[in-house]
Amino acid sequence: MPADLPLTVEAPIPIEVLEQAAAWFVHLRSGEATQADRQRWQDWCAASTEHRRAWQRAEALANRFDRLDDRTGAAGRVLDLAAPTPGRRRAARRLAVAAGALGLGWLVYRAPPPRQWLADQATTVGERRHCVLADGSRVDLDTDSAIDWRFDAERRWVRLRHGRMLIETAHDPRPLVVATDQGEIQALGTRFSVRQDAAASRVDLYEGLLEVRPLDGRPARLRAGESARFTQAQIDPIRPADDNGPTWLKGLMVADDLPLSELVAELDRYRRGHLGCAPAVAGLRISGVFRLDDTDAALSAIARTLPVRIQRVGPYWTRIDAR
Amino acid sequence: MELELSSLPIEPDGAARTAAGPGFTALYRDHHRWLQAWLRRRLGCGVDAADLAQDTFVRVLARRDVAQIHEPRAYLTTVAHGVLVNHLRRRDLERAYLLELAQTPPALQPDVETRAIVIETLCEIDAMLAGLPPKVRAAFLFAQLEGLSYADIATRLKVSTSSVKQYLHKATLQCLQTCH
Repeated sequence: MPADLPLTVEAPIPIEVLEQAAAWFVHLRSGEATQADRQRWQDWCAASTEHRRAWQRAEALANRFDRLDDRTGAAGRVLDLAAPTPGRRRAARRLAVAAGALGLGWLVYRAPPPRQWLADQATTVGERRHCVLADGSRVDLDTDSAIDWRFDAERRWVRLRHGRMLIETAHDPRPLVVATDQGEIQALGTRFSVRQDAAASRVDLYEGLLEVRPLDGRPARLRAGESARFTQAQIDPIRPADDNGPTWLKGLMVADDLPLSELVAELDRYRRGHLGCAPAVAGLRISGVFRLDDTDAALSAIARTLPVRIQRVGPYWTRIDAR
Repeated sequence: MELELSSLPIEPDGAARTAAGPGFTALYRDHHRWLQAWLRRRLGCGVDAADLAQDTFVRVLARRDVAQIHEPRAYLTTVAHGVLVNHLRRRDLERAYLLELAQTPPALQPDVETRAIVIETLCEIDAMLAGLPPKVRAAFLFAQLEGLSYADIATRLKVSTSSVKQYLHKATLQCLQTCH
């Protein structure tokens, strides 16, 4: 490892330019591109350094596939295998879920919400709370999160409406099921965290065993130390759980070469008002440990590290811009 | 929670950056054995753990934009976690590929060097496509690997040609964003 690596970082390419490059990439291979299109594409490439760099990436992408030289189809099958496909018992599962929902009266909750009012426990932005459910299960709620629960003779249901929770289940003969927008997680004596994002749920299992059941997809078992992100249709490949355990319990966010936009989105969850970043800096990468409890300190750390400045307009509007 | 800034192994202004400064040396000295043990518990293999611990520190060293490290072990485990995920994923892809090769006639089997390149490339492509919806991923692979026309892809996936174009645009954009 040479100690004198150059510090010059390649300037990020704006997302709009990458989008244009992607559009050309798709169009040129469609078989519909005319001679005039090709000329326009060449003009586009010649128009700026950024365009040229974006197109070089597109070429590098095509070269990667050429390198596979997949005459036997082996590579294709490997990559296809790697992507789980939705289960065949889709219809059956949907019915089962619907039946379960009816039986437990979940439909009551389908009524259009002021979402926090229906929740049995909710935290506001920047708040974290520990609570104990009726069966003795212990729950930590992250910022801006809400859960309902409903225990009957056969089951313990917990619904994560939004945000993130960590649960340590109490011993009880009734199974405990956590429901999210995308599916259910059935626990067997465990400690795990669940997060509800806009289009997916994510579960990290720290102890015990559990089963993840997407609404329309094939279920899968997780063991301690594993993590899965799932949508309604499928479970992504299972990965090791984030082993810091839930660092958010300690009010910390650890970033490892994360795009700035992702760090900012995370900090935004802990901050009142709007926090955003300009497209020009969204792709800058950053590493470090940031304080969720003190997002101003985290913003200062970002400004010291990256070529950005923090713009504040009033107390509730903050934007990170190029310096 | 107030954390000891004086104990920062990497200077908060990012001065440690790529040079193996005193901050990095201290980080390595204080936590290397601990990290290796941490990895061994997860892998059940001492040799791999030693390699991955090394990879982790190399990654830490290569991070240019390290803002601040309040808790070095939390940071190290996060970096190591990324290394571990890649390692396990690579192992799965490699196994799957070798299984495929085992069913290929010997005449068509690539030599060892080509295999290594293919496995490396498979890992890169897999990482670029991570998180894409199944149909988007499939459309992109049909186009790139099998060279299917957009109309054929549409038929296979039972969607319209304009959906195929949208899928391809989405997948291409993600690849352009993640490949360097």
